[in-house]
Amino acid sequence: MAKEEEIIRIRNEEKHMMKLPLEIIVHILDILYLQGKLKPKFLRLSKLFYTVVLPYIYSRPTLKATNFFAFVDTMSNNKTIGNHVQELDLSYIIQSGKNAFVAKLLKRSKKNLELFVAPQTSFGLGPLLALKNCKNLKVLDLRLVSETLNLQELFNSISTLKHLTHLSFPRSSIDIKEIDAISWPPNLSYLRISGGISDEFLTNTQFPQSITQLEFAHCPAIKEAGFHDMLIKHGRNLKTLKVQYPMPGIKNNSLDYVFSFCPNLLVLEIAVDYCSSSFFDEENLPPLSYPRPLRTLYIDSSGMLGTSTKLDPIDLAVALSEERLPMLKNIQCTAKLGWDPKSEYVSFIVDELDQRGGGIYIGY
Amino acid sequence: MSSPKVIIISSEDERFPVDPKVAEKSVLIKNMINDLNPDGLTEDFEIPTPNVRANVLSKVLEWCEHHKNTTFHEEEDDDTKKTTPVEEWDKNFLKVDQEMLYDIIMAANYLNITPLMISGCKVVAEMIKSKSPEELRKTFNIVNDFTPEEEAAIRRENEWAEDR
Repeated sequence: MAKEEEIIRIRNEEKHMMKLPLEIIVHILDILYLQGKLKPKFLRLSKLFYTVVLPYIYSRPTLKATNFFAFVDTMSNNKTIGNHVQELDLSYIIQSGKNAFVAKLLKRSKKNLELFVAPQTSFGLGPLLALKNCKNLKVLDLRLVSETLNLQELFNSISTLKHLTHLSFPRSSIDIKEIDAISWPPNLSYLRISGGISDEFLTNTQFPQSITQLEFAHCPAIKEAGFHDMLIKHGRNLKTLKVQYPMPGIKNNSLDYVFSFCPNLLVLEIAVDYCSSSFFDEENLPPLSYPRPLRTLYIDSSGMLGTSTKLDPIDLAVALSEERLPMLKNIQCTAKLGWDPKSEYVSFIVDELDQRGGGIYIGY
Repeated sequence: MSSPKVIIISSEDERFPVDPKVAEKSVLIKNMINDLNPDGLTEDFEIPTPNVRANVLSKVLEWCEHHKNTTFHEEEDDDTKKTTPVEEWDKNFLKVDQEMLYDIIMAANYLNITPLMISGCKVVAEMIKSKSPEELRKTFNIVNDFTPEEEAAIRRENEWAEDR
């Protein structure tokens, strides 16, 4: 009798058990999430599902003009839900943002926020101040910000963020008075310079030594003097340098010195507009006492008049054969350079890189 | 003398003799064989699997037999494993009733046969993605412990995520 009761008891328990254990349900939820099919209906199944699914829905919310207000509403009305947010990308929020909303989102998600992409508009003082409390922030991307930004306030907010490794400046003009008083976040490794950054800024600020990846893009105010000054001071630390068109303040050969200033680069991206025809010549690309570590080279071009005859593949072929770029494996360049893949020197480059296990990719 | 077999024993004591190569698709079994026979198998080796029924075990071993020469990329990260589509043979193999599908997934999980477990989970994911909450509860035997008011509040709160 007792055994039958036991069986009935077990059957009753089984009736209330989920058909699959939670550890397997989590795999299924993972799969749905990766396919973009994990919809909020899964939150409503039971309290257990609510707890398990909530972090998936909130960790990287997909925000657009159509759901932004509803998201702000939810974050405003529920004090803890923002703790699940790890990445906040507002790049698709164009005219619908408001400073107060952006600041609110930052405040509510401050606990675990690791990545923030600021919207084009509505990134004023409120959001800037709110950044200060996002102690776990690793990536701060302001490149879309088109309103004038108070750089002093930005640095006041981010200088204590010890996890911040990636910073992209806004494309807008900036407002700063005491450049030498700037205090940088201590562990910055990636810096993207754009917008209103001036020569004076590059010359007078004490960039942290931890920066190993540097990008320049859309910097109308930077001239050769400031650009070179910065590379002379920090070039030896750099592993990656990218200089993107347009940089109207620098000269048509300002990039010729990068190999001298930055001997330890692994990745280099140049715009041919700012190189002369002697870019790969020995005077600009001298042998080092150790094998030059450069592995990847990107060559871009605006395609403006005169750019298609500036770099001759023979110079690169010679540099390769003279072992001045012994580690170079991959080149990606634009067809605007006018390099003929069938020509003798391009074929030589192809063979040489092929032997090194890499290759050249000519695209548009 | 024929080469030694691994004999896997189901919960009903049914015996399934298979080649070691087939059995070793299960990481659990593979580790057991290696731990207990450091010099390799010299005679038949019995492994009881007391929580796997014979009909399920036979299906799982059919999968192992089919895949005995397949190399699975164990080094791939979880996300890659979970995003690649289910291969055609597995898809047909897993066209079974829901109870059997769940049993196969659980057996694969217990025996540590990750590629089979993930294929099964992908089939379930495909099956449930368009279901309503009520249907989902039935599929997994989930007891709804929300009041209708709570459920409505959760629906409102997360409406922003519907529009993807």
